[in-house]
Amino acid sequence: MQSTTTAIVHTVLAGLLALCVSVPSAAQNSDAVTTVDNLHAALLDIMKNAKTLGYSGRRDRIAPVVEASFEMVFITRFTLGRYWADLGTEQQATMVDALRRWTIAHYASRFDGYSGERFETISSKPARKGRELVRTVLVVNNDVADNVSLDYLLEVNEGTWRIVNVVANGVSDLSLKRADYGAIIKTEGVDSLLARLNGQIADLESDQ
Amino acid sequence: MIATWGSWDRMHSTINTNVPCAVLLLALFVVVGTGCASVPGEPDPNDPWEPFNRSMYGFNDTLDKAIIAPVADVYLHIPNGGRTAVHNFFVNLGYPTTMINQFLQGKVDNGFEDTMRFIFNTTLGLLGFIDIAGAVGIPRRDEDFGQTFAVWGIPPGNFLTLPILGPKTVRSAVAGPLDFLSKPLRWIDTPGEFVVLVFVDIVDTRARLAPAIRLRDETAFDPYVFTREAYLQQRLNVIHDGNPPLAELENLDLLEEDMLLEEEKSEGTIK
Repeated sequence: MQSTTTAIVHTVLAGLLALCVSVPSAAQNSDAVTTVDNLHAALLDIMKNAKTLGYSGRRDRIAPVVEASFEMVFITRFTLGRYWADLGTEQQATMVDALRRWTIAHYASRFDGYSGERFETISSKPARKGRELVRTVLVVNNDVADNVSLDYLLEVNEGTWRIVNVVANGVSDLSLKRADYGAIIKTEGVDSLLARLNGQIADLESDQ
Repeated sequence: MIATWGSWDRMHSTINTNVPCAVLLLALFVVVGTGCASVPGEPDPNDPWEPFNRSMYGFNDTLDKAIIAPVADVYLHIPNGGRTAVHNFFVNLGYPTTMINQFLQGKVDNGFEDTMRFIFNTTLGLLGFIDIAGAVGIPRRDEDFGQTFAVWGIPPGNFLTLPILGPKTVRSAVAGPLDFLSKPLRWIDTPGEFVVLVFVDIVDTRARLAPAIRLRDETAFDPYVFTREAYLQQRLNVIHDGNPPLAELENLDLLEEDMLLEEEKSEGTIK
Protein backbone atom coordinates (compact mmCIF):
# COMPACT_ATOMS: atom_id res chain seq x y z
CA MET A 1 0.00 0.00 0.00
CA GLN A 2 2.76 2.33 1.03
CA SER A 3 4.72 1.51 -2.14
CA THR A 4 1.62 2.24 -4.24
CA THR A 5 1.19 5.62 -2.54
CA THR A 6 4.87 6.38 -3.03
CA ALA A 7 4.58 5.45 -6.67
CA ILE A 8 1.57 7.76 -7.13
CA VAL A 9 3.37 10.61 -5.35
CA HIS A 10 6.42 10.06 -7.54
CA THR A 11 4.29 9.99 -10.67
CA VAL A 12 2.50 13.21 -9.68
CA LEU A 13 5.81 14.87 -8.80
CA ALA A 14 7.35 13.73 -12.06
CA GLY A 15 4.30 15.04 -13.90
CA LEU A 16 4.50 18.41 -12.15
CA LEU A 17 8.21 18.59 -12.86
CA ALA A 18 7.58 17.83 -16.53
CA LEU A 19 4.92 20.55 -16.59
CA CYS A 20 7.31 23.04 -15.00
CA VAL A 21 9.89 22.28 -17.65
CA SER A 22 7.66 22.03 -20.69
CA VAL A 23 5.06 24.74 -20.13
CA PRO A 24 7.35 27.78 -20.35
CA SER A 25 9.05 26.56 -23.54
CA ALA A 26 5.70 25.72 -25.15
CA ALA A 27 4.42 29.17 -24.19
CA GLN A 28 7.54 30.78 -25.61
CA ASN A 29 7.07 28.98 -28.89
CA SER A 30 3.50 30.09 -29.28
CA ASP A 31 4.39 33.67 -28.32
CA ALA A 32 7.11 33.86 -30.95
CA VAL A 33 4.72 32.44 -33.54
CA THR A 34 2.06 34.95 -32.45
CA THR A 35 4.44 37.85 -33.15
CA VAL A 36 5.08 36.54 -36.67
CA ASP A 37 1.43 35.71 -37.28
CA ASN A 38 0.40 39.22 -36.20
CA LEU A 39 2.86 40.74 -38.66
CA HIS A 40 1.60 38.48 -41.45
CA ALA A 41 -2.03 39.29 -40.64
CA ALA A 42 -1.24 43.00 -40.83
CA LEU A 43 0.59 42.53 -44.14
CA LEU A 44 -2.33 40.60 -45.61
CA ASP A 45 -4.63 43.35 -44.39
CA ILE A 46 -2.70 46.11 -46.18
CA MET A 47 -2.36 43.91 -49.29
CA LYS A 48 -6.08 43.24 -49.49
CA ASN A 49 -6.98 46.88 -48.88
CA ALA A 50 -4.01 48.29 -50.76
CA LYS A 51 -5.89 50.42 -53.24
CA THR A 52 -8.36 51.99 -50.81
CA LEU A 53 -5.68 52.66 -48.20
CA GLY A 54 -3.12 54.12 -50.56
CA TYR A 55 0.54 54.34 -49.57
CA SER A 56 0.03 56.58 -46.53
CA GLY A 57 -2.87 54.44 -45.31
CA ARG A 58 -0.78 51.27 -45.63
CA ARG A 59 2.12 52.96 -43.88
CA ASP A 60 -0.02 54.17 -40.98
CA ARG A 61 -1.63 50.76 -40.56
CA ILE A 62 1.61 48.73 -40.66
CA ALA A 63 3.65 51.16 -38.54
CA PRO A 64 2.41 50.14 -35.07
CA VAL A 65 2.71 46.45 -35.99
CA VAL A 66 6.32 46.89 -37.14
CA GLU A 67 7.10 48.82 -33.96
CA ALA A 68 5.61 46.04 -31.83
CA SER A 69 7.12 43.18 -33.84
CA PHE A 70 10.73 44.21 -34.52
CA GLU A 71 13.61 44.70 -32.08
CA MET A 72 14.81 47.81 -33.87
CA VAL A 73 17.64 48.73 -31.48
CA PHE A 74 19.18 45.29 -31.89
CA ILE A 75 18.70 45.39 -35.66
CA THR A 76 20.32 48.83 -35.97
CA ARG A 77 23.18 47.89 -33.69
CA PHE A 78 23.93 44.72 -35.66
CA THR A 79 23.51 46.48 -38.99
CA LEU A 80 25.95 49.26 -38.12
CA GLY A 81 28.41 46.74 -36.74
CA ARG A 82 31.62 48.17 -35.42
CA TYR A 83 30.52 51.71 -36.32
CA TRP A 84 27.70 51.66 -33.72
CA ALA A 85 30.10 52.22 -30.82
CA ASP A 86 31.49 55.35 -32.48
CA LEU A 87 28.09 57.08 -32.33
CA GLY A 88 26.79 59.17 -29.46
CA THR A 89 23.53 58.20 -27.75
CA GLU A 90 21.57 60.77 -29.74
CA GLN A 91 23.04 59.63 -33.06
CA GLN A 92 22.29 56.01 -32.18
CA ALA A 93 18.65 56.92 -31.47
CA THR A 94 18.47 58.81 -34.79
CA MET A 95 19.74 55.77 -36.67
CA VAL A 96 17.28 53.44 -34.89
CA ASP A 97 14.45 55.80 -35.82
CA ALA A 98 15.63 56.00 -39.45
CA LEU A 99 15.77 52.23 -39.80
CA ARG A 100 12.32 51.88 -38.25
CA ARG A 101 10.84 54.40 -40.69
CA TRP A 102 12.73 52.73 -43.56
CA THR A 103 11.32 49.29 -42.64
CA ILE A 104 7.78 50.68 -42.42
CA ALA A 105 8.14 52.53 -45.73
CA HIS A 106 9.35 49.43 -47.55
CA TYR A 107 6.56 47.23 -46.21
CA ALA A 108 4.00 49.88 -47.20
CA SER A 109 5.55 50.23 -50.63
CA ARG A 110 6.08 46.56 -51.51
CA PHE A 111 2.91 45.02 -50.16
CA ASP A 112 0.70 47.07 -52.42
CA GLY A 113 -1.67 44.54 -53.92
CA TYR A 114 -3.31 41.18 -53.41
CA SER A 115 -3.72 38.25 -55.75
CA GLY A 116 -4.52 35.32 -53.50
CA GLU A 117 -1.23 35.13 -51.56
CA ARG A 118 -1.19 33.61 -48.10
CA PHE A 119 1.32 33.04 -45.30
CA GLU A 120 1.80 29.59 -43.79
CA THR A 121 3.67 28.97 -40.56
CA ILE A 122 5.61 25.73 -40.89
CA SER A 123 7.50 25.30 -37.65
CA SER A 124 8.98 26.98 -34.62
CA LYS A 125 12.09 25.74 -32.91
CA PRO A 126 14.55 27.04 -30.35
CA ALA A 127 17.73 28.61 -31.71
CA ARG A 128 20.92 29.40 -29.85
CA LYS A 129 21.01 31.78 -26.88
CA GLY A 130 17.32 31.55 -26.12
CA ARG A 131 16.25 32.75 -29.56
CA GLU A 132 13.44 31.17 -31.55
CA LEU A 133 13.35 30.40 -35.27
CA VAL A 134 9.91 30.55 -36.86
CA ARG A 135 9.83 29.16 -40.39
CA THR A 136 7.07 30.32 -42.71
CA VAL A 137 6.31 30.43 -46.38
CA LEU A 138 4.62 33.04 -48.52
CA VAL A 139 2.50 31.06 -50.94
CA VAL A 140 2.35 33.21 -54.04
CA ASN A 141 0.30 31.03 -56.37
CA ASN A 142 -0.04 27.41 -57.39
CA ASP A 143 3.52 27.16 -58.68
CA VAL A 144 5.61 25.98 -55.72
CA ALA A 145 8.74 27.39 -57.38
CA ASP A 146 7.41 30.93 -56.88
CA ASN A 147 6.84 30.56 -53.13
CA VAL A 148 9.09 32.59 -50.84
CA SER A 149 10.40 30.97 -47.68
CA LEU A 150 10.49 33.48 -44.82
CA ASP A 151 12.39 32.50 -41.68
CA TYR A 152 12.10 34.78 -38.69
CA LEU A 153 14.57 34.85 -35.84
CA LEU A 154 13.10 36.21 -32.61
CA GLU A 155 14.46 37.23 -29.27
CA VAL A 156 12.56 37.69 -26.03
CA ASN A 157 12.98 41.02 -24.30
CA GLU A 158 11.04 41.92 -21.14
CA GLY A 159 8.61 39.10 -21.83
CA THR A 160 7.88 40.08 -25.43
CA TRP A 161 9.09 38.17 -28.48
CA ARG A 162 10.37 40.45 -31.20
CA ILE A 163 11.89 39.78 -34.62
CA VAL A 164 15.63 40.38 -34.97
CA ASN A 165 16.14 38.96 -38.47
CA VAL A 166 14.18 37.93 -41.55
CA VAL A 167 15.73 35.37 -43.89
CA ALA A 168 14.00 35.30 -47.29
CA ASN A 169 14.81 32.33 -49.53
CA GLY A 170 18.01 31.88 -47.55
CA VAL A 171 19.06 35.53 -47.81
CA SER A 172 19.47 37.22 -44.42
CA ASP A 173 18.16 40.76 -44.27
CA LEU A 174 20.52 41.62 -41.41
CA SER A 175 23.61 40.39 -43.23
CA LEU A 176 22.66 42.20 -46.42
CA LYS A 177 22.11 45.46 -44.54
CA ARG A 178 25.28 45.06 -42.52
CA ALA A 179 27.37 44.59 -45.66
CA ASP A 180 25.59 47.26 -47.71
CA TYR A 181 25.48 49.91 -44.98
CA GLY A 182 28.99 49.06 -43.81
CA ALA A 183 30.29 49.76 -47.31
CA ILE A 184 28.64 53.21 -47.29
CA ILE A 185 29.81 54.12 -43.79
CA LYS A 186 33.35 53.02 -44.67
CA THR A 187 33.57 55.24 -47.73
CA GLU A 188 31.17 58.10 -46.94
CA GLY A 189 30.46 58.07 -43.19
CA VAL A 190 27.38 57.60 -41.01
CA ASP A 191 25.81 60.96 -41.94
CA SER A 192 25.75 59.90 -45.57
CA LEU A 193 24.05 56.63 -44.67
CA LEU A 194 21.41 58.54 -42.72
CA ALA A 195 20.86 60.91 -45.64
CA ARG A 196 20.54 57.96 -48.03
CA LEU A 197 18.01 56.21 -45.76
CA ASN A 198 15.92 59.38 -45.53
CA GLY A 199 16.25 59.90 -49.27
CA GLN A 200 14.98 56.41 -50.02
CA ILE A 201 12.02 56.86 -47.67
CA ALA A 202 11.15 60.16 -49.41
CA ASP A 203 11.48 58.47 -52.82
CA LEU A 204 9.11 55.69 -51.81
CA GLU A 205 6.55 58.24 -50.65
CA SER A 206 6.83 60.37 -53.77
CA ASP A 207 6.61 57.33 -56.08
CA GLN A 208 3.14 56.45 -54.83
CA MET B 1 3.08 43.24 -56.24
CA ILE B 2 5.00 41.17 -53.76
CA ALA B 3 8.67 41.57 -53.10
CA THR B 4 10.81 38.93 -54.73
CA TRP B 5 13.81 38.08 -52.66
CA GLY B 6 16.51 35.63 -53.57
CA SER B 7 17.04 34.16 -57.02
CA TRP B 8 20.43 35.82 -57.22
CA ASP B 9 22.22 32.61 -58.02
CA ARG B 10 20.28 32.38 -61.25
CA MET B 11 21.33 35.81 -62.35
CA HIS B 12 23.13 35.47 -65.67
CA SER B 13 23.54 31.77 -65.02
CA THR B 14 21.89 30.80 -68.29
CA ILE B 15 24.80 32.33 -70.12
CA ASN B 16 26.82 29.42 -68.83
CA THR B 17 25.59 27.58 -71.86
CA ASN B 18 27.88 29.52 -74.15
CA VAL B 19 30.78 27.23 -73.44
CA PRO B 20 33.50 28.31 -75.85
CA CYS B 21 33.21 31.88 -74.60
CA ALA B 22 32.73 30.70 -71.04
CA VAL B 23 35.90 28.62 -70.97
CA LEU B 24 37.92 31.37 -72.60
CA LEU B 25 36.58 34.07 -70.33
CA LEU B 26 37.05 31.93 -67.26
CA ALA B 27 40.64 31.18 -68.10
CA LEU B 28 41.32 34.79 -68.95
CA PHE B 29 39.55 36.49 -66.08
CA VAL B 30 40.54 34.11 -63.32
CA VAL B 31 44.11 34.97 -64.23
CA VAL B 32 43.37 38.70 -64.44
CA GLY B 33 41.40 38.49 -61.22
CA THR B 34 44.32 36.88 -59.44
CA GLY B 35 46.51 39.71 -60.66
CA CYS B 36 44.11 42.24 -59.19
CA ALA B 37 44.50 40.68 -55.76
CA SER B 38 47.80 42.46 -55.43
CA VAL B 39 46.27 45.94 -55.87
CA PRO B 40 47.50 48.06 -52.94
CA GLY B 41 45.04 49.36 -50.37
CA GLU B 42 42.79 47.74 -47.82
CA PRO B 43 40.95 44.93 -49.56
CA ASP B 44 37.99 43.40 -47.78
CA PRO B 45 39.28 40.08 -46.40
CA ASN B 46 36.03 38.48 -47.55
CA ASP B 47 36.46 39.84 -51.08
CA PRO B 48 40.17 40.16 -51.92
CA TRP B 49 39.44 40.62 -55.64
CA GLU B 50 37.01 43.48 -55.04
CA PRO B 51 38.64 46.02 -57.41
CA PHE B 52 38.45 43.58 -60.33
CA ASN B 53 34.99 42.40 -59.32
CA ARG B 54 33.65 45.92 -59.11
CA SER B 55 34.90 46.77 -62.58
CA MET B 56 33.31 43.60 -63.99
CA TYR B 57 30.11 44.41 -62.12
CA GLY B 58 30.11 47.82 -63.78
CA PHE B 59 30.65 46.23 -67.18
CA ASN B 60 27.78 43.76 -66.68
CA ASP B 61 25.50 46.50 -65.37
CA THR B 62 26.19 48.67 -68.42
CA LEU B 63 25.58 45.73 -70.76
CA ASP B 64 22.37 44.91 -68.90
CA LYS B 65 21.01 48.45 -69.03
CA ALA B 66 21.99 48.90 -72.69
CA ILE B 67 20.76 45.63 -74.18
CA ILE B 68 19.44 42.86 -71.96
CA ALA B 69 17.05 44.82 -69.70
CA PRO B 70 15.35 46.70 -72.58
CA VAL B 71 14.83 43.46 -74.50
CA ALA B 72 13.51 41.78 -71.35
CA ASP B 73 11.07 44.68 -70.85
CA VAL B 74 9.66 44.09 -74.34
CA TYR B 75 9.60 40.33 -73.71
CA LEU B 76 7.50 40.93 -70.57
CA HIS B 77 4.69 42.20 -72.80
CA ILE B 78 4.15 38.66 -74.08
CA PRO B 79 1.21 37.06 -72.24
CA ASN B 80 2.16 35.17 -69.09
CA GLY B 81 1.20 31.77 -70.53
CA GLY B 82 3.64 32.16 -73.40
CA ARG B 83 6.48 33.24 -71.14
CA THR B 84 5.79 30.35 -68.78
CA ALA B 85 6.01 27.89 -71.69
CA VAL B 86 9.36 29.36 -72.80
CA HIS B 87 10.66 29.22 -69.24
CA ASN B 88 9.48 25.62 -68.84
CA PHE B 89 11.35 24.72 -72.04
CA PHE B 90 14.66 26.12 -70.79
CA VAL B 91 14.27 24.62 -67.33
CA ASN B 92 13.66 21.23 -68.94
CA LEU B 93 16.58 21.69 -71.32
CA GLY B 94 18.86 22.19 -68.33
CA TYR B 95 17.44 19.27 -66.39
CA PRO B 96 20.11 16.68 -67.27
CA THR B 97 22.52 18.83 -65.23
CA THR B 98 20.19 18.55 -62.25
CA MET B 99 19.71 14.78 -62.76
CA ILE B 100 23.43 14.02 -62.97
CA ASN B 101 24.26 16.14 -59.93
CA GLN B 102 21.54 14.54 -57.81
CA PHE B 103 23.29 11.19 -58.33
CA LEU B 104 26.75 12.70 -57.79
CA GLN B 105 25.53 14.11 -54.47
CA GLY B 106 24.16 10.72 -53.46
CA LYS B 107 20.52 11.83 -53.65
CA VAL B 108 19.49 8.76 -55.62
CA ASP B 109 15.73 9.05 -55.04
CA ASN B 110 15.74 12.66 -56.24
CA GLY B 111 17.88 11.62 -59.19
CA PHE B 112 15.35 9.01 -60.35
CA GLU B 113 12.44 11.39 -59.77
CA ASP B 114 14.19 14.14 -61.73
CA THR B 115 14.91 11.68 -64.55
CA MET B 116 11.20 10.81 -64.66
CA ARG B 117 10.43 14.51 -64.70
CA PHE B 118 12.73 15.08 -67.66
CA ILE B 119 11.26 12.15 -69.61
CA PHE B 120 7.63 13.17 -68.91
CA ASN B 121 8.17 16.79 -69.84
CA THR B 122 10.29 16.09 -72.91
CA THR B 123 7.70 13.67 -74.34
CA LEU B 124 4.20 14.36 -72.98
CA GLY B 125 5.17 17.95 -72.24
CA LEU B 126 6.16 18.58 -75.87
CA LEU B 127 9.90 19.22 -75.47
CA GLY B 128 9.31 20.71 -72.05
CA PHE B 129 7.05 23.59 -73.02
CA ILE B 130 4.34 22.14 -70.76
CA ASP B 131 5.30 21.23 -67.20
CA ILE B 132 3.32 17.98 -67.05
CA ALA B 133 5.46 16.63 -64.20
CA GLY B 134 4.81 19.73 -62.09
CA ALA B 135 1.08 19.34 -62.64
CA VAL B 136 1.19 15.82 -61.16
CA GLY B 137 3.21 16.96 -58.16
CA ILE B 138 6.83 16.15 -59.10
CA PRO B 139 8.74 19.15 -57.71
CA ARG B 140 11.13 21.22 -59.84
CA ARG B 141 14.68 21.11 -58.51
CA ASP B 142 17.89 22.86 -59.42
CA GLU B 143 21.30 21.25 -58.99
CA ASP B 144 24.62 21.98 -60.65
CA PHE B 145 28.27 20.97 -60.43
CA GLY B 146 29.10 23.92 -58.17
CA GLN B 147 26.63 22.58 -55.61
CA THR B 148 28.05 19.09 -56.01
CA PHE B 149 31.59 20.33 -55.40
CA ALA B 150 30.31 22.04 -52.24
CA VAL B 151 28.64 18.84 -51.05
CA TRP B 152 31.94 17.03 -51.67
CA GLY B 153 33.63 19.46 -49.32
CA ILE B 154 35.51 21.59 -51.84
CA PRO B 155 35.83 25.13 -50.42
CA PRO B 156 34.21 28.01 -52.37
CA GLY B 157 37.34 30.09 -52.86
CA ASN B 158 37.13 33.83 -53.38
CA PHE B 159 34.11 35.67 -54.65
CA LEU B 160 34.44 36.48 -58.32
CA THR B 161 32.42 38.56 -60.76
CA LEU B 162 32.87 37.49 -64.35
CA PRO B 163 31.95 39.50 -67.41
CA ILE B 164 28.58 38.40 -68.77
CA LEU B 165 28.54 35.34 -66.47
CA GLY B 166 28.02 37.50 -63.37
CA PRO B 167 28.61 36.66 -59.68
CA LYS B 168 30.43 33.41 -58.90
CA THR B 169 32.76 31.80 -56.46
CA VAL B 170 35.93 30.23 -57.82
CA ARG B 171 34.28 26.87 -57.16
CA SER B 172 31.16 27.65 -59.18
CA ALA B 173 33.22 29.30 -61.92
CA VAL B 174 35.34 26.16 -62.33
CA ALA B 175 32.15 24.08 -62.36
CA GLY B 176 30.61 26.23 -65.11
CA PRO B 177 32.09 24.34 -68.08
CA LEU B 178 30.93 21.03 -66.59
CA ASP B 179 27.43 22.46 -66.30
CA PHE B 180 27.57 23.33 -69.96
CA LEU B 181 28.87 19.93 -71.02
CA SER B 182 25.91 18.28 -69.30
CA LYS B 183 23.30 20.38 -71.14
CA PRO B 184 21.68 19.10 -74.36
CA LEU B 185 22.02 22.60 -75.79
CA ARG B 186 25.64 21.88 -76.68
CA TRP B 187 24.53 19.25 -79.21
CA ILE B 188 22.98 21.95 -81.40
CA ASP B 189 25.52 22.30 -84.18
CA THR B 190 23.83 25.09 -86.16
CA PRO B 191 25.47 28.28 -84.88
CA GLY B 192 22.43 30.43 -85.71
CA GLU B 193 20.03 28.25 -83.73
CA PHE B 194 22.50 28.01 -80.85
CA VAL B 195 22.88 31.78 -80.58
CA VAL B 196 19.11 32.39 -80.77
CA LEU B 197 18.41 29.80 -78.07
CA VAL B 198 21.10 31.18 -75.77
CA PHE B 199 19.82 34.70 -76.25
CA VAL B 200 16.20 33.78 -75.55
CA ASP B 201 17.38 31.85 -72.49
CA ILE B 202 19.20 34.96 -71.23
CA VAL B 203 16.16 37.18 -71.86
CA ASP B 204 13.85 34.72 -70.10
CA THR B 205 16.15 34.63 -67.07
CA ARG B 206 16.47 38.41 -67.01
CA ALA B 207 12.70 38.85 -67.25
CA ARG B 208 12.14 36.49 -64.32
CA LEU B 209 14.78 38.32 -62.29
CA ALA B 210 13.25 41.72 -63.00
CA PRO B 211 11.41 41.99 -59.65
CA ALA B 212 14.54 40.94 -57.70
CA ILE B 213 16.68 43.44 -59.58
CA ARG B 214 14.09 46.16 -59.02
CA LEU B 215 14.11 45.31 -55.32
CA ARG B 216 17.90 45.63 -55.27
CA ASP B 217 17.76 48.96 -57.07
CA GLU B 218 15.15 50.25 -54.62
CA THR B 219 16.90 49.14 -51.44
CA ALA B 220 20.64 48.82 -51.97
CA PHE B 221 23.00 51.71 -51.41
CA ASP B 222 25.98 49.77 -52.76
CA PRO B 223 24.45 47.44 -55.39
CA TYR B 224 27.73 45.55 -55.88
CA VAL B 225 27.98 44.64 -52.19
CA PHE B 226 24.26 43.85 -52.04
CA THR B 227 24.53 41.51 -55.05
CA ARG B 228 27.63 39.81 -53.66
CA GLU B 229 26.10 39.12 -50.26
CA ALA B 230 22.75 38.03 -51.70
CA TYR B 231 24.48 35.71 -54.18
CA LEU B 232 26.71 34.07 -51.57
CA GLN B 233 23.83 33.51 -49.19
CA GLN B 234 21.52 32.24 -51.88
CA ARG B 235 24.18 29.78 -53.03
CA LEU B 236 24.54 28.50 -49.48
CA ASN B 237 20.79 28.05 -49.40
CA VAL B 238 20.60 26.00 -52.60
CA ILE B 239 23.66 23.94 -51.64
CA HIS B 240 21.69 22.89 -48.55
CA ASP B 241 18.49 22.42 -50.56
CA GLY B 242 16.74 25.26 -48.76
CA ASN B 243 17.80 24.16 -45.27
CA PRO B 244 21.09 25.90 -44.50
CA PRO B 245 22.57 25.24 -41.05
CA LEU B 246 20.78 27.15 -38.31
CA ALA B 247 23.98 28.96 -37.37
CA GLU B 248 24.16 30.40 -40.87
CA LEU B 249 20.58 31.66 -40.63
CA GLU B 250 21.27 33.23 -37.26
CA ASN B 251 24.54 34.74 -38.33
CA LEU B 252 24.60 36.82 -35.19
CA ASP B 253 27.99 35.84 -33.84
CA LEU B 254 29.25 38.98 -35.50
CA LEU B 255 27.34 40.94 -32.87
CA GLU B 256 29.43 39.38 -30.13
CA GLU B 257 32.54 40.43 -32.05
CA ASP B 258 31.16 43.98 -32.23
CA MET B 259 30.50 44.02 -28.50
CA LEU B 260 34.00 42.77 -27.78
CA LEU B 261 35.31 45.58 -29.96
CA GLU B 262 33.14 48.09 -28.09
CA GLU B 263 34.52 46.87 -24.76
CA GLU B 264 38.06 47.13 -26.02
CA LYS B 265 37.37 50.63 -27.30
CA SER B 266 35.84 51.75 -24.01
CA GLU B 267 38.77 50.28 -22.12
CA GLY B 268 41.08 52.24 -24.36
CA THR B 269 43.03 49.20 -25.54
CA ILE B 270 42.26 50.06 -29.17
CA LYS B 271 41.03 53.10 -31.03
